[in-house]
Amino acid sequence: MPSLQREFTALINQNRGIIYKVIRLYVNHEEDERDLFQEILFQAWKSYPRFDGRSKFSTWLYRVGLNTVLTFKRRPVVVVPHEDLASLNIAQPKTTDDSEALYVAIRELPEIDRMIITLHLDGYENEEIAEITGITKNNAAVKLHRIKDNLIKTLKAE
Amino acid sequence: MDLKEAWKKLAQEKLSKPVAGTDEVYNSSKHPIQKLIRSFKIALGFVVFFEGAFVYLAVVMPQPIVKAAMVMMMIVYVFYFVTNYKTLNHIRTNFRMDENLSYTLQSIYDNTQQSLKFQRRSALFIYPLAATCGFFLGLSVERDVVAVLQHNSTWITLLITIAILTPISYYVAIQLERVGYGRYLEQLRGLIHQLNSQV
Repeated sequence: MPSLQREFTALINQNRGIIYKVIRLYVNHEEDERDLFQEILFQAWKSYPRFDGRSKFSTWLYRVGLNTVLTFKRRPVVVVPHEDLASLNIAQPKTTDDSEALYVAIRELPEIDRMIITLHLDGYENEEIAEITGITKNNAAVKLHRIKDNLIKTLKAE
Repeated sequence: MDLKEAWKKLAQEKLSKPVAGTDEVYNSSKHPIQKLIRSFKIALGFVVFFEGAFVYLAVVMPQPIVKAAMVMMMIVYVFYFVTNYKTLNHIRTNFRMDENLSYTLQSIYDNTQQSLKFQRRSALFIYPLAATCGFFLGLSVERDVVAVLQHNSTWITLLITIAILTPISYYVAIQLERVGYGRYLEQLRGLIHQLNSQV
């Protein structure tokens, strides 16, 4: 195995959790999971020769993963907002687990908002979020504030 | 609820669960840009094939006017090759999934559209030329082209041929462009719109 490939495989093995996280946040279908896993590996491998080490590999892989997932053609997921479910009088299972409730709330967000809040929760600064998403730092801060407000409102409503 | 705490727990318990998939990197991608790259490579393959055919015909056809026509076609195909190669190269160098996504997609979309638009416009001049070259080639099989061109009827036939073949070729080329590039460009446009509307 050539050294570049060996190096890449080792880094992927150390950071595979990032790929799992991205997939779990955006995909529901097992076949999509497999395809997306392969697509992220493919795109990361293609871009790897240009990885200059200025950022951490994990940050770089996160970005490749998120960019890939946003451009990946997935099976449409029908998301029914909580208010709509309530109006239909369908009993919703109450989740007592904070993390599970957070997961459900995050999955209801638009994809870019989901990307911004997960980056924030993972400890990325507004500047890094702006760089990854391609929006301005101020816009990132404003959006983040709004997303957090919405998220907290949703979580309180549950 | 402490969002960070809940996220930490979520990341550790649910999001870190392995997903189906192998570690082996297959050389295949369903990405629309990767498909665009493939379409441009196929187009370049055809250009090289036809270039070879024109070189062969320029060598084997005895009449100088036909040789000249084939050389003209060779020049036209060199132009096609350069245009397509430049676009392919631009896509390859700019397609970076580790860069600003919205900018990357927009730049590739604009460049590809520009290149296709340019080729579409130039085709309106190139198709009549190609029809003329084909006409000379066909005539040369049984006759002396220069001698036949002395008759007005030959020129009228040539003009009718150009008038019929140019729009047909243009229509076919547009359909082929739709098959080769259209749906991927459409996909890209959708993605750009989605990204811009959400950001």
